[in-house]
This record gives sequence, C-alpha cells and structure tokens, in this order.
Amino acid sequence: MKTKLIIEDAEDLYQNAPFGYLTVQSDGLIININSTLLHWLGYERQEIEFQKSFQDLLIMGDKIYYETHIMPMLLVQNEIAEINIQLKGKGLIRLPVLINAKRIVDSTNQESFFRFSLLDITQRRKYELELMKARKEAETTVQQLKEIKQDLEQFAYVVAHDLKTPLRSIKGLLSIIKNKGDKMDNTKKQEYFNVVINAADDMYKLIDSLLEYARTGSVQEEMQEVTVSGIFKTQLNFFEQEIKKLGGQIETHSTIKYITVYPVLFQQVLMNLISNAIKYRSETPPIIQVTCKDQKGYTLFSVTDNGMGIPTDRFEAVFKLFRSLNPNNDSNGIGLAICKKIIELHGGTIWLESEIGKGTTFYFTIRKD
Amino acid sequence: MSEQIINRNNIKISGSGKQPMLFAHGYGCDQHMWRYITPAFEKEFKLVLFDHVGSGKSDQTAYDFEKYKTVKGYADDLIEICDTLNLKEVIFVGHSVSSIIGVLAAVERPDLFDKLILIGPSPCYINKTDYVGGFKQDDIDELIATLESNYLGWSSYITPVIIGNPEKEVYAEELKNSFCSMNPDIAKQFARATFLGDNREDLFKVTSSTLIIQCHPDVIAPVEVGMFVHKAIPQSEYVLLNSPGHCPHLTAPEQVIASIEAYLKNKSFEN
Repeated sequence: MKTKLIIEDAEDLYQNAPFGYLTVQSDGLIININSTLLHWLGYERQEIEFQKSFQDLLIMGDKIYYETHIMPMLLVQNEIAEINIQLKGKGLIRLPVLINAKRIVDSTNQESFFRFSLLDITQRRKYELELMKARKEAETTVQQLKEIKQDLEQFAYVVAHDLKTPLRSIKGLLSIIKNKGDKMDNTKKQEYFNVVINAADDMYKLIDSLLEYARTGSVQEEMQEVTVSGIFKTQLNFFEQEIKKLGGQIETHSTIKYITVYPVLFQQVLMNLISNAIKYRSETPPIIQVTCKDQKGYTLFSVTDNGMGIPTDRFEAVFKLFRSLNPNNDSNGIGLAICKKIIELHGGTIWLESEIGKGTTFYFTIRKD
Repeated sequence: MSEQIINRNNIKISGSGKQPMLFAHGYGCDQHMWRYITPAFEKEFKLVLFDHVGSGKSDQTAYDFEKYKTVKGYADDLIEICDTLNLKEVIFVGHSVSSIIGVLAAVERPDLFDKLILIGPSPCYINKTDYVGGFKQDDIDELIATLESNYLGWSSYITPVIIGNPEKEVYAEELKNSFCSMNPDIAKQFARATFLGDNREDLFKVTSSTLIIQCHPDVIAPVEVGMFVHKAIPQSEYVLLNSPGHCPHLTAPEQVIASIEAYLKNKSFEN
C-alpha cells in the first residue's frame, strides 16, 4: 500500500474540525470562534465575535455554575476538563456540551485569555438522562422492596403470633381433658370442647383471610362495565336488614352510570367498608352514606359513617396488614389491607378522613381507562 | 474539642502577625481561592483559613443536613472557630455567601469582630417585590440541574480533572478531587442554602466597621445589590473594582489587596 503525505492546513483544521473551539478574554468576551461551533449554534460570525461573552451563551443556572465553579477552577488550576453544560444557540437551539478549557497567559502584556474546546454531546446527554432516570427508578424499586420485606417480616411475625394464640388454648384445654377428663363432669367437658372448636374456627378464619389476601394479587376475573346502581343494589340487599335492625339507615347516591371494574373484587371493597362502618358504630344507630362521582379521569367513591372514628395517627396504619384498631372485635386486621390491594389493582388510591366520636369517611378512586 | 473543630473545618493557620485575619471562601470551591491574596498580609497578620463543612477537605462526616439547611449553621461554625482558637478583634474576609455568614456571626457576637470585609456580598439572591436580587427561583432549579448533570462524573470519581502547572504538581495532585468538587447531595443543599436565603434584615444590625468590595459586571451579585448592602450596614465603606466577574480575588487580586490595605490603614489612622 502506498502512503501519501497530507499536509493539514492549520486554519482549515481550526475552523472546520469536528469540534467546537472558542477563545475568550478574562471578562468572557468571545474573541474567536470556529466555524463548526458557529454552525452548531446557528449564529453568524459577526453576531458572536466581540459581540457576545461566553456567559451570554449560558442559561441562568449555568451562569451561576460558570461564576462559582468553572472560572475559579480555571483561575486557580489553569485548566479544566469534562464539564457538562448547555449552550444557548440562536432561537430555540440548545446544545449540551462537554467543555475543556485552558488558561493562556500572553507573554507580552501578561493578560490572560482562555481557550475552550467543546464536544457536542446531544446523543450522550439523552443517554445520560436515560441512565439517571433508570437509576432513580432503581432507587424507588429498592425502597419498595425494602418496604415489602418489612411487611413480610411483620406478616410472618403476626401470622405466627395469631395462629399460636388459639393453638395454645387448644393444646392447654386438650391437656386438661386428657389428664383430668375422667374426673370432669360432662357439662364442663362440653364447655371445654366448645372453646377448642371455637379456637379451631378462629384459625380457619384467619387462614381463609390470608389466602384471600394472597389471592387478591392474581386476578382471575375480567374487567367489566357494570352499572353503579347495580353494584349499590347488591350492597343494599346484603346490609339493609342488618342496619334496620340496629335502628339505622343506609343511603346511596351516584352521578355516574357505568364503571369498569373487576366486579367481584370491587363488590368486596364496598362490602368491607360498609361492614366496618357497622362494626365500628358508636352508641347511636349507624347512618351510612355511599356516594359515587366523577373526578378528572377517575371515579371517586366515598363511604361515610357516624361511628367511633379513627385517631389521626392511625390513618395510614389501618391499611396495613394486621393493624386492626380493635383486635377483639372479631377483626383480624386484613379487611382494609385487602381493600387497598384491590383499589390499587384498579389504578386508584384509598384514604380516609375521620374525627373521633363523629365518624369516618373512606374515599377511594378507580381509574377510568 | 479544639482538635475536632480544626479537623472539621480543615483550619490552616499561618502568618507572623498578632491580629487574626479570618478568610471564608464562598459557594462552590474552598480555601485555595485565597492563594493570591494571603501572601500580602502574612507579615502583619495571623492568617486563619478554613473550609466550610462539606467543602474542600473538611470532615464530610460532620455534615448535618438539618444544621446546614440555612447559612445560620455555617455562622455558628464561624463563631465556634473564633472561640476555639481564641480569636479576638478578628478582621473577617468573606467571599460571596460567606459575606452573609460573617454578617450573621458578627450580629450574634459583635465582641469577636473588629472589621468585616465583604467581597461580592448578597443578602438575598432571589428577586422580591421591592428588591432586585438578580435571580428567579427557576434559575436556582437550573443550577441544581447543572450540578446534577456534573454528578454523573462525581459518583464514579471521574470528577472534572483539574490539572495545575507541571512545576506545581504536588499542589495539583492535592487539589484534584477537592477544589470545587463536592458530594452531590451536599452541593445541592449548599446551593439552596446559599441562593434561597433572605438575610436582608440582618444587615441593619451589623455594628462592626465594614468594607464592601464590588465587581462590575457581576452576574451573581450585581452592583445594585452591593449598594443595597452598603446602605443597610451603618458603618460601611464601598469600593467598586474595575474588574468583571464574581471572584476578584482570583481575577484582580492586586485590586483586592490594594483596597483592603487602604481600608485597614485608613481605619488604623483614625484610631
């Protein structure tokens, strides 16, 4: 292969290098700029040279960075490398660049000037933004996983504890019957057996609820469009008698006709909230209102009662597993956790407002699309 | 205790004089900013230089996000430094945000300070209804974004490589990873503490004699702001340098030295 000597023209190399070059005075005034950079910025030479300072090409935030970081570094270190800023070109042109710069001292008058080289990093910047986004997402996921891990630990602890309690009484009572059974009268024995059966029932219930909670995540049914009035009717059929017996009343009101939901799961949310409203009623007969209305891309439901109310510091805790406010009241602290899971499946959120002694309103949204 | 504070703020003491001259660097860099100024004063004064916690070679583990939320945290450190080193009749020289840090310290403990020399001070960077600070809230958000885009490097230690003169290699090596580079979270919070504060009211409470050194044009602390500071501080003098930018101690050190010397002589003459 033959080689041919190519002599580069220095001026042409400077002007048309695949790199931006500019030279500024110590006050930032641009005294030289190469054609490549002019082209990138969309300016004519006479608009820049001796007209604009380097700072004029910066957005305000970068100006501060220039004055507080770049200039001091150049003046102390005489050289900087790989600093990422954005240049403002003509009109809407924005050019992300990596800059390197060097301080040159003029031997004749000891004045300093600065040479900048600029690398267009438009592509790389996009990639960096992707990276930053990915990192933020990863950080969020790690945080979520940490919370899930904590929940699981809590879950295991409480399950163990809650299953142990009835088991302990079963074992205790059976031991008594085994040891002293011969001498016991029948009524006493019968009483003990009943307690044992009740305890076993409690365990069944707990296990069923746990299974239900675990299953909520993996939906078996299809999303369907249903009428709100139909949903409300099912709830009324279920609760009206019970509420009337207590001397109370339940009302429903909706400004929406149709919603798209997983019907069985969705009914369960209302079921849980209404039965809680009855369970945690105050001395006065329960008055329960269920409403449904439109809210910017979502449908907003509310269930309001005049019950005992929930202390402010428990507003979030009630939605966590096994955080029942009243463990003795036939409640295993799973119901609201299930509601939350179902609402999240519908792309919505659930929250509450409450005042002790006055009552509680649970709100939840479901996404329309 | 004194050892701990000295390490915490990377305090360096030099000079053969008695009266202490305490130099506080501004936002962005560290005590090396004073390198062109200090030689002029080392014969007559005791020079005390330090890095704010979170900057330069200070103890990063001492950075408390609650304490340094506002510049008050740094002012407390300044007082602590004076007390620990038993500094009296201090001539305080502060650049940029440190001017205000000095003002806060002098308002709280006027007994410690003889004079304040403020280079490019601004009590409030954000424009208010009756005040022009030069910036909008958005500008500070942009700055944070720029800081963030330059952290990509920081986190993997490819910090902007800073190379000094070949003959000063040791010095360059020492500076490489400290001068103007900062832990990203600290840099963001320091930026907010610096640029979002409003300490205009404190200026009126200053009782120490004060010199304000102003550049023109200065994007960070414009002339109007320097004039505002001058009007607000009762016993203050104002010098406008023939130098652009925000760091005259780097760009025009001879002018800064001359104005400080004139100010100090004038004062001692009056005494």
